[in-house]
Amino acid sequence: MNHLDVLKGPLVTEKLDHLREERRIYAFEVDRRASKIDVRAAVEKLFDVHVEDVHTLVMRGKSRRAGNKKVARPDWKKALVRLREGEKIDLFEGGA
Amino acid sequence: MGVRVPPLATLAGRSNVKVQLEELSPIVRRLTVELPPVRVDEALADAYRSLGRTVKIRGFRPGKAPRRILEELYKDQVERDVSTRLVEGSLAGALAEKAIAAVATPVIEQDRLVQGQPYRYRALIEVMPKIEPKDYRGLSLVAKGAAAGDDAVEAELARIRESLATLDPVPDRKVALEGDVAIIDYDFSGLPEGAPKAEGNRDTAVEVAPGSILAGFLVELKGVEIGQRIDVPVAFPVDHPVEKLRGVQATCRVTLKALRRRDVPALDDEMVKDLDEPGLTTLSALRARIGQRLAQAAEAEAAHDRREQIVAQLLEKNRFEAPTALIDRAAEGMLRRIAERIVEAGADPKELRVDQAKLRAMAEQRIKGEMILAAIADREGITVGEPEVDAYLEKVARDEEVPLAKAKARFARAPARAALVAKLREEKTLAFLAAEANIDKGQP
Repeated sequence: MNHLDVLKGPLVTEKLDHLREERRIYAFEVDRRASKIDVRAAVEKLFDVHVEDVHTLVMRGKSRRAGNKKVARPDWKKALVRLREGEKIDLFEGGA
Repeated sequence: MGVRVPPLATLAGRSNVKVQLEELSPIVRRLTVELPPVRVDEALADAYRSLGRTVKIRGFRPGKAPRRILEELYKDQVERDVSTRLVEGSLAGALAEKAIAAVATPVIEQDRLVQGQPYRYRALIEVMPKIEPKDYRGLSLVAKGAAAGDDAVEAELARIRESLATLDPVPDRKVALEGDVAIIDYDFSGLPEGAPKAEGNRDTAVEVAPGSILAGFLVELKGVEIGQRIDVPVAFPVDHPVEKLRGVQATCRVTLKALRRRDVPALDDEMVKDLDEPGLTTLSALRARIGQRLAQAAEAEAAHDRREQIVAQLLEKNRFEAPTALIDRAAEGMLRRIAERIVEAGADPKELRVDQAKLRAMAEQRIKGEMILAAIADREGITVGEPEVDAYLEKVARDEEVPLAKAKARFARAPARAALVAKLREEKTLAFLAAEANIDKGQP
């Protein structure tokens, strides 16, 4: 898979912020078809870092009601990427 | 979205603020203020802390979003707000430190706010120039003509009589004589295409006397019988308000319908009673009141004229600049009053065409007049005390026939009272200058 198609965007939440600060784990929303190997390659290539390990999980799309019907948002894939000691991805560090 | 920034009260007391003052002109100062980095950082930290508590950011509980995320989203806004707060929190202190009394809101030029660096801004401030009044004794004034004489009173009485005149039918003749009031119908012919149609051309009253029909006179009716019709040539003036009619020669067909005689009441106590003015029953009382009113008007005009003369001479001998903000404000005030008067007169203020340059020149003259008179009052130690203010208020109450408490209430608020004191002080200064002047009592 082309690494430009793998990563769909960074995920930033309070919990992930702690993971990043304490364990150098960065989270991304990735293409559903992407494998852990694809994610590792994409992150290493795009951010010029070394990836220690990758975990992926499929998040179930939330369902919501539209009138009488229940409509499900699509499922999506989350990837948690741990970097080598001392490395970081600037994208997550903010513009300060 | 506006960002709420906490007050800088905790910072305001801290010094290390560098203030530099430059005198760009007698009425303009430039104040350069530099705030230390610590104040900048604390203000930013406070701003982000309070912002974090109020904004909702996805993935974070309220107040838990880290500053770098807030900076990413709101940096420009926070910096703008913090710099404004820093200016607001420090400018008054800087002005006080350099003892500057600004006459208008300063114009602020700000540098970019950078964390960890001093924050600098410049304020352009208009101030009152320091005026050292000179040559104000021995001005040459020309006294305006004496108070209104009997002729003016009689003329006013004649005008009142005329206004009370009634139009009575003429029972004994059908032919118009000079001095009659004729009731006519009229129509124009020979008007250019598109000219407006005559309005009110039925049962119109005109005087049988020399003059234009356009002004309500028609001498040609002399000798005409009721029911008879005549043609009268009409020349519209070249400055007629209706453009299409300017300079037009037309014919007016007039039908005499009825005759009336103007009945002017006799000049006696009966006429005075008809005026229905409270407290006025006799002709001599009316004469006295007219004389008094004319005298007051003449006095006011003389005072106005005297001020004009004094100010013109003072400004000739004392050259100085007046703050443009004050002139602008005065010009706006004058324009507003003109517009109000136009509305009162029932016209459309949008039609108002004002010569801005002339208006500004007048405003400048007024402001400079106030400034030089205040400077002279300062120099001469002219002040206005409570008894003088009270005496003035009593006079206002008497003149306007309102209770004293009401007159006092009008000037109870500080700005109104200050304006009143300034006005009285100016009048006192003008009286002082007039007393010191050489007055030529020649004819006006």
